[in-house]
Amino acid sequence: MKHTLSFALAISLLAPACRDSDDRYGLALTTLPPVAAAGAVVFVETASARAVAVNVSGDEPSVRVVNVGAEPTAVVARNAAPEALVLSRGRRGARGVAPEPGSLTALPLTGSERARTYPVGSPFNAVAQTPDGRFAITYFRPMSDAGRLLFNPNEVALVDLTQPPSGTNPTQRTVRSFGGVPNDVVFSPPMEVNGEARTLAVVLSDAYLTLMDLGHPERVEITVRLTLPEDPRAIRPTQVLFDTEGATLYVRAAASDDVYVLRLEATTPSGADGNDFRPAINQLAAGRRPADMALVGDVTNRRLLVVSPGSSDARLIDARANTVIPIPLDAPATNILLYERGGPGGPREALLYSTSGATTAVSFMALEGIETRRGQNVETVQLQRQVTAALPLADRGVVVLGHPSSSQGRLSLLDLERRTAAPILSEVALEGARFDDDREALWVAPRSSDRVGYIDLRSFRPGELLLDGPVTDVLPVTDATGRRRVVAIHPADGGWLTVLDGAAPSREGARSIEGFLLTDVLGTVE
Amino acid sequence: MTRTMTFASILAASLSLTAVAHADPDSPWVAGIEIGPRWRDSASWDAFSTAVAAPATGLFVGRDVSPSQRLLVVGVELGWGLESGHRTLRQAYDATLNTHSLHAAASLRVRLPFARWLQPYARVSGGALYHDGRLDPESDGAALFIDDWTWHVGTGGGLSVTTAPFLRGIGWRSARFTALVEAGYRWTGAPTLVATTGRSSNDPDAIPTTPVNLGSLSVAGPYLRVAVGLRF
Repeated sequence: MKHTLSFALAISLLAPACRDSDDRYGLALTTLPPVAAAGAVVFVETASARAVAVNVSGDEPSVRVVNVGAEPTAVVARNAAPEALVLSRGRRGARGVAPEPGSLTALPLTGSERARTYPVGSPFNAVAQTPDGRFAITYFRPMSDAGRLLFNPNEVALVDLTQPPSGTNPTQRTVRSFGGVPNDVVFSPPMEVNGEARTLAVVLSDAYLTLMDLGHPERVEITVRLTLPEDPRAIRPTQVLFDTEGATLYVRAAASDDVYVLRLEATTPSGADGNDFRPAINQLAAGRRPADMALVGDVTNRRLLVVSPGSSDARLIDARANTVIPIPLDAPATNILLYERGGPGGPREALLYSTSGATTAVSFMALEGIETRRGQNVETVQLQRQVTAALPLADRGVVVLGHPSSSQGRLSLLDLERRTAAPILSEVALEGARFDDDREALWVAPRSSDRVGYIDLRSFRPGELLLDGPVTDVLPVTDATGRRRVVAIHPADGGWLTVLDGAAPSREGARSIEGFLLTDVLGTVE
Repeated sequence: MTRTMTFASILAASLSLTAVAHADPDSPWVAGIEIGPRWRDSASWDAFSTAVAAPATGLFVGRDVSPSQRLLVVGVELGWGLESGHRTLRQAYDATLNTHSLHAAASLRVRLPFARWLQPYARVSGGALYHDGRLDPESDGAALFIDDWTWHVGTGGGLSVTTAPFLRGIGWRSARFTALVEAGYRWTGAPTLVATTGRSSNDPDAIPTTPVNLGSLSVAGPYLRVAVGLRF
């Protein structure tokens, strides 16, 4: 009797007590690379599908945690809005686990507004957005394994981020394919086409591109082949320039010596889902393997400047007149930087430089009268060092150049007006450097060093600051009020960062937070 | 493991019943040690243990405050207990949590006329819990420390048995062994745990750090308490 009573008591207690153990605490604590947006740094935990936003605009960092869709794959700052966008591929489902569609979560970083989750349906792995941040397109970048039995790589979803999720937002579409899959999506600024300002999404695929009118998502997309049907080349479009006043697109493609000019001409729509414009394509020779292009001249005299590292000249292309003017160069170039010499309103010039290591010289090109003066408008300046990267500060009349390691330092300042280069001794390469949003300072973080370095880009005076641990990355952050912060990220299992005042960096004004990836780990997440 | 310990405890307590003699009421004081599992209703506990129950140990001392010859005997008690959990958290931290409980309790025992050595009882308790934990990173970073206070109250019922005096030979007539088994439920506060790194507190020149809010931890749930002690 006594034993029976004791056992009955124990069993009655064990029954409610034996709940399943919560296995989320066993998930790995790995994150996507963080992004800076609107006074915050956003980390996304992949295994637990949580976005951890560390707001660094206040005197002390504060943390907000929001659940996002399963299997997050990308996080980006939303353009022109204080939000982060998290793309999740969703979950296939398993025994006892319901499948979950792919989704795009818009996470507000200011105020207490709740996150918006847009069900995009498919397990997309890439997201692109318009410069004004109104629209986002989710799509499939080429990948070896989608993790699904069947998927359509030409499917896209168009999301209007200014509207809440609904039955018509997002809009799912399948772009017409000639056998390829999207490599990238770019957006036009508002373009005047057939009397209406509209934003175009341009889906870049091997050998063709697809235009979608975002103002009219119900209309059928327009696909433009860049090669003949019998041509097997995958020329892969890589750069698109938009002449917004001339309703023209200029397309450069890898593995092609031509540039493609698409003039959008007004037409009468055929049916309710027809477009009121159509592209007329023109193809112009641009030298050997063009590497960069820039639009020059005003709307009445628009021309395209193209540099090709395989050619000893640059090309000035007039698409309307179908003319190509070669301009001889002493040094081949891969990049073009347009600027106004001496500041805004000054004569328009172009800096032509190469990051391929083929030359140690750069070219300054005056654009006024270039058609007639050609090579006479070009001045070559010998730097004596190869250029590996360039960060333009054209509004301040300088370009920060990166160079291979040498006794002369790895950075130099190229004065665009005087056309001189001054070295800055640096332990780090320019590729790891970060600008403030307003380009007031340049920040560097040498790997495994406890210090961050900076250059005040008004005075060009360098400085450095000792922190409490090694730095793996540095992220400048600007909040809505324009207050500049710099976030140094340290290696730590639970996340560790130090927040610095971007305008006056000092240890006294610094603040750290460590273990923030464990915020709300016990529960109470939004 | 926890269940095995539970049933072993129950068995030991039950077997002890068969060995006791009639209890003598002139032993108002009691002191003892206790063990037993503490189950958790909240999944927040799983951050610190993969077991559904925490093993607990403790010490207590008490005294009967009503005349011992009556049918109902009222006793009071003070005690301390320790419950521990340990696990690898998020494959990144070695997480340890020790919860100390300080309690005061009152019990009402029934002296059965036909078996005075066997006394069913009801008990209410209350007091404070102190959570003391640390998170040690598996690879990079500094340890994070947790400490927080909260309240707890509980109620339960059980059986106690008491032996006859066994130290009469040396003149201590009131000394008896006692054992008890008790089951019940404990309610606790659910404090928001804050983790701080020792980096800045250990180094006055370090950059100040902001603590991290880990969320709410509740250790409320059913319990089983097995104790042995000395009445005197």
